[in-house]
Amino acid sequence: MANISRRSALKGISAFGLTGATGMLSTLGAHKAFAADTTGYKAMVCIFLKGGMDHADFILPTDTASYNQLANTVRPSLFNQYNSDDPSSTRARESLLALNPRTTEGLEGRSFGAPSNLTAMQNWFDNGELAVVANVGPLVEPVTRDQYAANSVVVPPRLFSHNDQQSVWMSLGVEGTQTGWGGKFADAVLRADPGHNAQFTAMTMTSTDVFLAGELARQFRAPNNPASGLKLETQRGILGGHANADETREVLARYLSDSGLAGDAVLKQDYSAANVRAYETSQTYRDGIANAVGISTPFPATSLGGQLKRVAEAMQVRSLFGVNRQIFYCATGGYDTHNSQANALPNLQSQLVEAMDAFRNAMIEIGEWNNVALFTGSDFGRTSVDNGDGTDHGWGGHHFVLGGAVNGGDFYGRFPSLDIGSQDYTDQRGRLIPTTSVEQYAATLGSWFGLDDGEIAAALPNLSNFDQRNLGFMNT
Amino acid sequence: MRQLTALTGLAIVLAACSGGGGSDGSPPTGGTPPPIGGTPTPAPTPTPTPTPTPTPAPTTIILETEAGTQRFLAMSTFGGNQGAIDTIVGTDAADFLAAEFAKPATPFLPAALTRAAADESNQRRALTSDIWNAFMNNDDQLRMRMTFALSQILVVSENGGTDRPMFANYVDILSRNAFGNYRDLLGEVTYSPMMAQYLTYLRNRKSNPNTGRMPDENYARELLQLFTIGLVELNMDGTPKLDGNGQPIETYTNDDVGEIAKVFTGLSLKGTGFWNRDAAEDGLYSPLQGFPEEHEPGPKTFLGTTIPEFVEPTETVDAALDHIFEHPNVAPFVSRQLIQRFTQSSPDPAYVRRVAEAFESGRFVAEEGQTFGTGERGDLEATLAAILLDGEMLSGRAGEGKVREPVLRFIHAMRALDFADREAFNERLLNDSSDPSDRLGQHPFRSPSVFNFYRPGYIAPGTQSGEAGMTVPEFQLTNESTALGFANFLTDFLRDGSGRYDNERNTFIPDYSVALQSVDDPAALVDYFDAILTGGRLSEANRDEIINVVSTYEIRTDENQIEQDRLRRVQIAAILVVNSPAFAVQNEAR
Repeated sequence: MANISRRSALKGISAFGLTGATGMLSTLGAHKAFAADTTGYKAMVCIFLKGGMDHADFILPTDTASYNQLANTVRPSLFNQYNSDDPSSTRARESLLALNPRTTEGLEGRSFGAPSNLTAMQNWFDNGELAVVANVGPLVEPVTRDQYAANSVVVPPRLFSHNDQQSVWMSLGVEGTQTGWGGKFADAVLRADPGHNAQFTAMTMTSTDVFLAGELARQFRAPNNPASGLKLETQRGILGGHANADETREVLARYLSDSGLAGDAVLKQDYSAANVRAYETSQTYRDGIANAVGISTPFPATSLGGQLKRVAEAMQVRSLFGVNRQIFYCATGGYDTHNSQANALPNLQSQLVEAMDAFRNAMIEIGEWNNVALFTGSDFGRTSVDNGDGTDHGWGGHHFVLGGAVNGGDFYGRFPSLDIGSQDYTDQRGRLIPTTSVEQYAATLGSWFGLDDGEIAAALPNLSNFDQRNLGFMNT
Repeated sequence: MRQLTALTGLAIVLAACSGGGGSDGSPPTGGTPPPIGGTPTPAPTPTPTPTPTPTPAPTTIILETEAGTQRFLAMSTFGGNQGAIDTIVGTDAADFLAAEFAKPATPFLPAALTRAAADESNQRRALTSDIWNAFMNNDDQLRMRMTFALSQILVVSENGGTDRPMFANYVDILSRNAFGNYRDLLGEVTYSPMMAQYLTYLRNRKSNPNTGRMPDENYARELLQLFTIGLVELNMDGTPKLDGNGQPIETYTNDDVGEIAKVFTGLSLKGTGFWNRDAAEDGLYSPLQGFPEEHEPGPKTFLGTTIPEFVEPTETVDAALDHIFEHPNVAPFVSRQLIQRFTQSSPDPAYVRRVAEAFESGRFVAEEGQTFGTGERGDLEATLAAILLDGEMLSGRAGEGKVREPVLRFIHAMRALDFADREAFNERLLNDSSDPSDRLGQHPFRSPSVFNFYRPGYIAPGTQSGEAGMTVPEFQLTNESTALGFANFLTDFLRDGSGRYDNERNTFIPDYSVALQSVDDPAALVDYFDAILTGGRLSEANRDEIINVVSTYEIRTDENQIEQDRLRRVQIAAILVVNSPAFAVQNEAR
């Protein structure tokens, strides 16, 4: 029963509660060793960029030959929309902020930078806190353009489709898959440490996507306003002032915690169980957050800023929640830049970097910076070739890992050629074939998080198809 | 004469199959998609439905009881009050549908244009209020329900920058074609400025070999994936066809998408030039116009057909839509999603097949001989009639039920409880009900993306239905993360405590006059709400516990307190019933 606290286990008893518990025990029995290291405190924070982030418009080449090839040959319309000939353009070659890596091996003389409005990124990189992982994407096994064309190796299903590739990034299966690798990492922690709280190990600040869905982990969606509860119970005006108010509240609380009332229909039972969990978990969370000292670092007033602020607040009171490993999920949209990319993307990038920077400062404020790995994911990268004023769905793309424990200031993976006819692309639209698998990226995080090789292999079934199991961007 | 026996049942539900893998040891339906590169999962075997007692030869579907009528109205409208139930109880459900199909559409555009012409402030709130009001108050309830359903398939999402007449025109397209033909609907949607802007093919240009520019692929992909054929080849019953290796067969390739992207080039607003410097005054709410100079000139080869070079843009678009519409997937793909919006979250394949056959034949004949549809493939009247008059479905043998989405539950509560003066424009909470943590988590025409509020194939992790492989899209919105938001939103309305823009004007005023008559008898009070809100489907245990809470809240005898206590007791009962599983879920198996 590693997964649920004694209290909720007792409360949840019903015909199906018992069936569920038995199922969990047998799952536990299948694992002989519970080896995840759960000492100290570590947190993974995922920022999912919904819509498919255009990697090639985030990390740009700064050496003249590569820059000219991209700007004049591969995506001239887009660069034109950026007025990139104007030195004040965020995409002008001379204005790009150099990201000078510690090691230049494999770059073949190429150099890279960030758009000029993203100064924080350059600072993190210079501080050794930011790693850029080039050309990451879902893969079953390594694949080249010829192999892709000949259909001679297995590739992930339903490439280029938003919902499916979001699911594949998060769960390694198409839409409808039941567990994500974040949830599986949380499961490993819960198996290793029976006292660990199942709700607060996996927390989403936004939608309940598959990333944090586990067998034991129950992702908790932190409310925007932690103080909010069930009004029927908490609002003084409803029960308050009445002679039976306290008694009614007690009876009501018992009713709201009883998941055995739904009757036989499976959907009613699922609905009832969700309501009971919502009620109980929100109480625990509300009581916990009420004890928080608070974060004084200002966060931007954006959706992502708010989400990351709530991550910081939850971390601050983690001791009350009984957790020393946590995985958080945040997401932000708008990255599906089929058109008006030159208008839309720079703002999105600024918002992202500002929110990440505020989070970094908040982590330093509460002394957790060395215990946190903030990382990005996205549906896919986008076509290198533009469509006039935007880009279309691609496959691989570059991603970012930020934190005090990151071996930052360096590039990982391999930057692709800018020759669209080369083996790096599926076709003439310039859809990048990943050279680093999402599973390698995940494994590197999981290893730092404390999972052992067996637990990582169990969560990431295709990892064995790749030589490098740890990309090295995390300090261990 | 077959009566609607299933709809006349008592509150206690004794379903044989609880879905958790099947107590009879049968495998669950559906199944988890295989992981990448994993061992192919064997084809999911459909659960052999326990053979029901043979149904007597069907004759008429009579709405025999008030409870059955309540439940039928919850499926086919945004829910009925006592008056609506009284009006049709004892009549043939098919006659009710025929009357609904005959009601004409009322357009949204004129009011939006009037407001635009007057340059009114709050045009966005006014239009979204028009939609709430129509869903809540219009007499053409089935058309409004279908409009809401279609808005969740042919998805656009409005935001602060959306032109109001353009958006109103789009709502009109859905409403006007709600009982028409899906091909016509697809055409009007494709030529609508709203969709063109939303899926970025407005002023999409032909490729340019010099710069390498290629046509925008957005609409090409979503048209196939979401609006017409989906990703994998389907049987008529909505299950995937499998190849020799037991794998699903993809319906199209990336090359098809690239070719169809060329089809949707050279379309712009009505006017004299592609760049719309001289767009017509009604350009934003008129069908798009083709501009040959920006249309891809070459041939377009996709899905086994070729449209030759140098065909005019609109002729090309029409030919492409015709060809895509001919695909055999369209009937099961659209039918299954419509079923999910009306009656079943995870419909039995046989039910999908029956509905898809009505879509294919364009005709549905009810048991008493009422005929629906024109006989043309894609007829939505026939499709809807097949969904709502399906004998197996009405008997509780077409799936485990439907989790009703939050918007449906909210509107149903307002209608069933006879809230007075339902003018959404005055309600702060209805200006935007999207927030999942303290509102409904859903607002009509404001889904987060073209993928709607939830996906038709969503299987909820960590649930019994999920273990059984059942698709329950609505659980993507209705779960432990959103439960408190929904409860609090409804509580504000049920307590007459929702915020108003004009505090001098009371709107959404609850009418508890009938409930108050039984306030001294907690069981009768709870039974009243149970009947009007769920058709008497609260489980016995649930009913007992709500009675227990209500009874604990005593009505004091002090004259200064008695009226307030009576009202609060009624409110507590109402709040607990609208948050019950029986109100959230309809059509559970029996």
